[in-house]
Amino acid sequence: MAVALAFSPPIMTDDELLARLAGGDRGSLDELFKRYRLLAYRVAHRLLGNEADALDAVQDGFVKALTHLSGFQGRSTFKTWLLRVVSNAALDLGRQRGRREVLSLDAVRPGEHEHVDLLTVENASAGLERADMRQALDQALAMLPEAQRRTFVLHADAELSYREVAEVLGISVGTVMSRLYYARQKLRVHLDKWMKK
Amino acid sequence: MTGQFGESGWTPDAELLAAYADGELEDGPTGDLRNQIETWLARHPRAADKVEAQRRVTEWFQATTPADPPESAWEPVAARLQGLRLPLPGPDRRWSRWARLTALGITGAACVLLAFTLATLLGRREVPSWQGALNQPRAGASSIGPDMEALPVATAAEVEILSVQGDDTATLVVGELPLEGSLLLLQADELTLTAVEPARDNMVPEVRKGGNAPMIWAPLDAEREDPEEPDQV
Repeated sequence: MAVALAFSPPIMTDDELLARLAGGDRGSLDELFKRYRLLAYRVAHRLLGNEADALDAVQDGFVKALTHLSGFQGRSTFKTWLLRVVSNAALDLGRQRGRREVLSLDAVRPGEHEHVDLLTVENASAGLERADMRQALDQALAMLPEAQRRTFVLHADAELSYREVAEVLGISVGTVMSRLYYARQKLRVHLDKWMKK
Repeated sequence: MTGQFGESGWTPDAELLAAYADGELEDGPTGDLRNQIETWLARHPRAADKVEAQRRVTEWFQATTPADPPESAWEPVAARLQGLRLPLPGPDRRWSRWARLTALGITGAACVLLAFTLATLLGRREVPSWQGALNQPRAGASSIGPDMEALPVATAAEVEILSVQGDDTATLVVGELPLEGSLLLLQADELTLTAVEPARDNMVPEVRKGGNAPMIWAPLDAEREDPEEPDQV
């Protein structure tokens, strides 16, 4: 019996990719981009509320991060440093475009935003309900102070640990705990209707 | 930030319960703390409900994570990044930092030297007297020598004089306001006044040409920039 073995190249660490990038290997840039673009996008999308702005923020963030690589001292991971830059870019963009006010109006576009297949009859009802829930969540999120909102998004959407969130924001783990606690308290109040369902 | 001890024993802080709900107490030395909390929650069902509600908020957000954009949406972003000129750090970041610090030091020293040189040169040209003369036109500026080069003070794009008041009228030899064209600072003896014509309002400007006060002069021909020869107004 013939056995075909597939060898995949070893996955390089971020530090290895950065070292290669420093040596002029543009392929490493592409690899870093592919590695973190979705994570960055999810954070930016949650902070801005729509795909186009989120893509702009991701681009701005990557451009800033890559052109200021000398500012990356290696005290944190590249991932947390990048998310710091991207979330800064998203918040800047949001302030420029008054996104918080627009967010609630723009949030419900199920075809664009949701992990929902609305083409099947069975999923239609659930999909619409989820779209409503998404809108409610985004509205509730928009009510939070910026610091709490950012902390919560980094934890919930980027799925960063407390320590990583602390690294991104340059705050203590205790402050992360506190912000998350108060953020969720407020979110629960805003989402009370949904919580009782 | 762990909890408080009271009459009913140890009570974990709300933030600690939230950390437990987030799975932050799973590994290592916090494992004992996690066990303590689980024991405590088993005896406090209302608190356990609150912890569960906290967990659900996060789960809801994660369940509505935005859909990934199509691959085509990334293409312009990737192209933009590939087009970047990167100041690459390399592994010798300490060297680049030293290089930056050295460059900064050299630049700073150069600036100080330049400022000193400029101050010396401008001092020779009696710029402070020139400025003083503008503020006090009649006080004179006798220290300006006759061989001093007339320098353009401003370009047409930089200056628009809308009105001239009081004593300044004698200093500013002009046509009609608003004044356009390059302005020159000249000594009084570098000008020859041949005529003074009334303005549109038929008012004849009072022009006192005397003393050594420098005068701001506007060439009649705005195109003319050469201040080599004494001009006529």
